[in-house]
Amino acid sequence: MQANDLFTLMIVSLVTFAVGLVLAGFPFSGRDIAWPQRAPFLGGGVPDTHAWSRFHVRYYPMTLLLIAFEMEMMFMYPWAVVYVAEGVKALVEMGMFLAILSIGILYGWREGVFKWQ
Amino acid sequence: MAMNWLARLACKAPVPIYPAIGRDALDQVQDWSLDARLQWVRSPRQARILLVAGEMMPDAHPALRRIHDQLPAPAVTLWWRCTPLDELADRAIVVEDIEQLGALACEGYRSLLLNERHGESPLCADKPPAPWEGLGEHGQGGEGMMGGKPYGRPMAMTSDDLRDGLELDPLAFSVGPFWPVLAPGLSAHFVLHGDVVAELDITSMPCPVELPAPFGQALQQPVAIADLEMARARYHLRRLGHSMWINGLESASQAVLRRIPTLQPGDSIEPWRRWLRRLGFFVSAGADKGKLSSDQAERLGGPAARAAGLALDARVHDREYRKLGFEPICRRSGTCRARWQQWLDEAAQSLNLAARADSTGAKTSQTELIESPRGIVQHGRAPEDASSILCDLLPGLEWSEAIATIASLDLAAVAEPADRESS
Repeated sequence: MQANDLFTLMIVSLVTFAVGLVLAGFPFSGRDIAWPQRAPFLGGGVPDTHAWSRFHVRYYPMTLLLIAFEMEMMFMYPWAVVYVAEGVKALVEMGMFLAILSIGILYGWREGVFKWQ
Repeated sequence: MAMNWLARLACKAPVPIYPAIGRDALDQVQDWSLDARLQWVRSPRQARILLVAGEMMPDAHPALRRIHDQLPAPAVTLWWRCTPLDELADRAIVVEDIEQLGALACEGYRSLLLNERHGESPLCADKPPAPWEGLGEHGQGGEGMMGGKPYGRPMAMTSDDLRDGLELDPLAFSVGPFWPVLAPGLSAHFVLHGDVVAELDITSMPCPVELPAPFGQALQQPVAIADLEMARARYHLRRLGHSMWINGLESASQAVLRRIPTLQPGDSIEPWRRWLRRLGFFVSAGADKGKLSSDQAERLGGPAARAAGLALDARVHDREYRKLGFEPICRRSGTCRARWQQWLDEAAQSLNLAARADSTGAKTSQTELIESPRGIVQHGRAPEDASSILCDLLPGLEWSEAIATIASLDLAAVAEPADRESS
């Protein structure tokens, strides 16, 4: 297939996509949703505020910990291969890398990630 | 042409109805939800027909207007046992007999789809709840990051989080009186931190419920224990069916409701119990929460108190019940699971008592003090509204646990049977 053909195909699919978007929005254009319809359903009740509220993602320290451990493992597989060729130098480098990552784990420890709640 | 064909095809689908339930209408609404032509939906946004069922107080009218406007246009409203709102009075479809509901709803739905009937016009003004205006003279500036109230509602301001004191945004809103999870008429103001209930205020009490007829009669004259106990078993199982519906087990709840009218004295509840265990109903979220203290249990009375270990039951004072070998069943934990199991246990006990009383023809021996499915009823004293215990029970629970707790409690006051006789 020529580059020209690919380019044409891309243009055609983009145009189709754009036309599709316009058509999909057509039934809703020019018709604003009424204010009472926009309100959330609360069985006749009303919200005091918007629902754009910030709340604590409680699994956040857990994800940090996962990333810390996962990154260690991700780099240790290729490192295991390089270690055979490089020897002690690779061991020291990996030691430094692990030391930096373990700061994250210590932070997680302080935040109480290891406590089962 | 094609549209007509599609519209006719759509007419054959079950009619999505949202019921706004008022006084003493929940049982009937549950019964008609078994009709295959109708579908009880959980939000007006999914509905084409609004059913206003049962008498309602004028202070519920603004909420009713809001619900009415949340149905997507075009929509129709059916009125059963209540007076239509003034704005809709000239076009109101009044259901005289609950038997006609299915036919009227299908007819209304069909006429909407085939364009034979225009939808009702909205009842609330089409404007934001508050103008978007800041403090400055050109509408700019305001508290926090905002200039005024964007899209009509203020943004949440931070406050201390319930669990760890972080400054986060609480979500404050009121629900009810037509939210089917809460008892009809009950409305409450919630403050949530994330998904945890931080505060709860009851803003309107649930409508008083009327007890099944045999309980009213039992206060007037001796009645057959078999009738009384069958009514009790049905009441408890109905409550259980509704709890299952609230917990999302819709078809299971329908199976329970469908079985209730065919119950006979002496039927066994054991298959139900096994089935509910297999469904995982007793281990659903929040089943181990909602623990009542002994004060709260005493205030509630009835099965809820017995599920919390208080052996309060007026039937022990009745000599005929003692002859039948009646002893109150108690559980200890007082959690949601205990209350659900208590309903099942007591329904099983009532079916057994009914079978024994049926063979001897036993009648109650006292009329001044009877045990209703909601607790002890005397002349001039029926169980009172206990919805305020939710204010102590729910804070600290996650939303799903709070819903399970609400689903396991029967909080509405009991309308005094004697009053009803005289009025």
